[in-house]
Amino acid sequence: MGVYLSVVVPSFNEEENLPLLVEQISAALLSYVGNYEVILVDDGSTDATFAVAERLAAQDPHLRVIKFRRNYGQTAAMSAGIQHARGDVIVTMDGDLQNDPADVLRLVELIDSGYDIATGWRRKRQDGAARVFVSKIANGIMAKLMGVAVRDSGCSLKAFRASLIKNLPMYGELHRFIPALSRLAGARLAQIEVNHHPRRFGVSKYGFSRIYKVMLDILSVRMLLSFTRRPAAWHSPLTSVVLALGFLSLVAGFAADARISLPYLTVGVLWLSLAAILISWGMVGQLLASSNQRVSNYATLGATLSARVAHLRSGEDEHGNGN
Amino acid sequence: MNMATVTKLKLTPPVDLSVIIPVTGRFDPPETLYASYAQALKKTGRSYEIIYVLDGPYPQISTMADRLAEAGAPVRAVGFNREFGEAACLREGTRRAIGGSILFLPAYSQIEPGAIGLVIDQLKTEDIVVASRDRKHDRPLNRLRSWGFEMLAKVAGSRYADPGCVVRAVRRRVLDEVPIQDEQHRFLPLMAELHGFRVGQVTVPQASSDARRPQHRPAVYLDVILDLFAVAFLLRFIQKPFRFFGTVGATSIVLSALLAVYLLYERQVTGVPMSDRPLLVLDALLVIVGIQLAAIGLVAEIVLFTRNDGRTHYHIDTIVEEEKTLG
Repeated sequence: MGVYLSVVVPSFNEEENLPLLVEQISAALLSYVGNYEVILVDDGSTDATFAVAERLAAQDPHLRVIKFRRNYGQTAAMSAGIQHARGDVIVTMDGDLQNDPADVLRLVELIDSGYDIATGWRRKRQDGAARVFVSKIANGIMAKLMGVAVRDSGCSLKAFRASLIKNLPMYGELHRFIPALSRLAGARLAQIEVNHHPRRFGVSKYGFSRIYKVMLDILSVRMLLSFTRRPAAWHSPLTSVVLALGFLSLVAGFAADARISLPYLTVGVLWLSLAAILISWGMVGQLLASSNQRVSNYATLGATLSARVAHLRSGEDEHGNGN
Repeated sequence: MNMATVTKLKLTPPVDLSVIIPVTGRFDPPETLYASYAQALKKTGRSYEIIYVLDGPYPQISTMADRLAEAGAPVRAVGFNREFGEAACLREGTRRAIGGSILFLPAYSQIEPGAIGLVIDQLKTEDIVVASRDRKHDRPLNRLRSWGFEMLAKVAGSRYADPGCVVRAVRRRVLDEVPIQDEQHRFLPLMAELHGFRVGQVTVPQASSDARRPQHRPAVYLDVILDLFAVAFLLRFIQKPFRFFGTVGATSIVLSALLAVYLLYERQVTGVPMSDRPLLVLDALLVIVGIQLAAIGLVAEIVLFTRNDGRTHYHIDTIVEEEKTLG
């Protein structure tokens, strides 16, 4: 009997929350007809999380526990859970009871109805004002830079088609960008409102700490996306701006009075040298892409999903998507 | 309930402990040192072997090892034809070692040999044990230098005292997973920690001859400091290089923007013409350096993206699951 649904729950020092969480998930999935599994990933907790999880796993055959040797962060925990998941549909959620397990089935239904990824939107967030504000700004920037409007990227409650998520890169802080990544790859994205509860026990262990880190991550993800599509061209927008600036300064230098032309010319040459360096880096990037097959795999993944979405786009509109 | 846990084959290694002594330039009279090491090792009650790894020709040591081996002592010497460095020695020694645990010892006395037992005993609970010298009786200059080195290592993220001490006891499985990289062998504990191993630390008495010894040349320290920062970078940003390069680049660009504001202010308000000032060139240079650094960060991201073929950066300790759902 194959497993259809995998629920991945990364947890770090959540000994008080775990029993309740597992109970709630089991209750929520009681009516579920398919076979399911719950994967608890213990991200190197220093408290009794693993012991609690082990005890729970002994009572509940649906439960699997993965224990890390040390703390590796939320992305790593999610990635490990996803790679070990056996289901065709994978749902991720926080281990701190802030997500409502009752929402899991609603997300799974969306995947069943043809979407590739379904994300929760915590409309009524139960967190401190500062946290909510930072995450609002992050989502806004992400929407601008990526051209993808994801309402709430920080929400862990998401459902994916396994074939999609297992092929997406997962390291660093990339799990936050999965909706944007997969949307750009052409996956069909649905967003629905989900419940959000205030924390009962403990304090938040994960989170965007500083906004500038988010911006840096967004930039690098944006670049990686254009790199997977066209390995030669990831740097070209920047390079063309730099080249234009260089030529402009040169022209200005030649046109200007002899007394002040030297600084213009110097600046122009500097910009041109920067362009040369960027072009060289671009070549290095191409070299790396040509010696690696995975890059073309991602491109293919994007292409196949895009083809499907083009086929569907005419009739269907997306849930909860404002534009 | 049937729990599947990964059971590892328990092979008993032929000896308990392999002692690896890299010889790179500095060594004390080998006979006396060997005698003191051998005595201390016998006292621990474990079976052991000693492997000298010679970084280049050291006839004095190789003849001694041959003589001892003929007499039946568990001593071997392997040598390189030219210098390859300490890390290469440690790698070669590890490759040849047959013990279940490995102990690195210096070819000159750094610690009281009697303390070796102390270091090995801690392996029962830890995967790797780092010795640090108790410098109570050391020369003030040496103490100052060691303190400075330790502070630098702290900045780079190392929690371990005395990074210059060669004495380390390591379980075999650590070295199977954590490669001893050139110039990074000093930070093996740090790398092991990154791989999720338990690292322990013991303070041991310093050898009296070590206290009198003048320390390394300044150039050695510069090398070590550069290595330290490389390791610190690896530890912190191995998953997100752009966070580092992007921050540095953005700082440079912000500086240039501030400078530009100042230049514009001077032109508009005080009437200093902008275009013939060297500051303008500096301003452009700052932007350019910023973009270059950021570009390096992006290339690093690409390297990471293209090179992490299926290799995970996390290490799983145990998986608990019911057996019958496996099928």
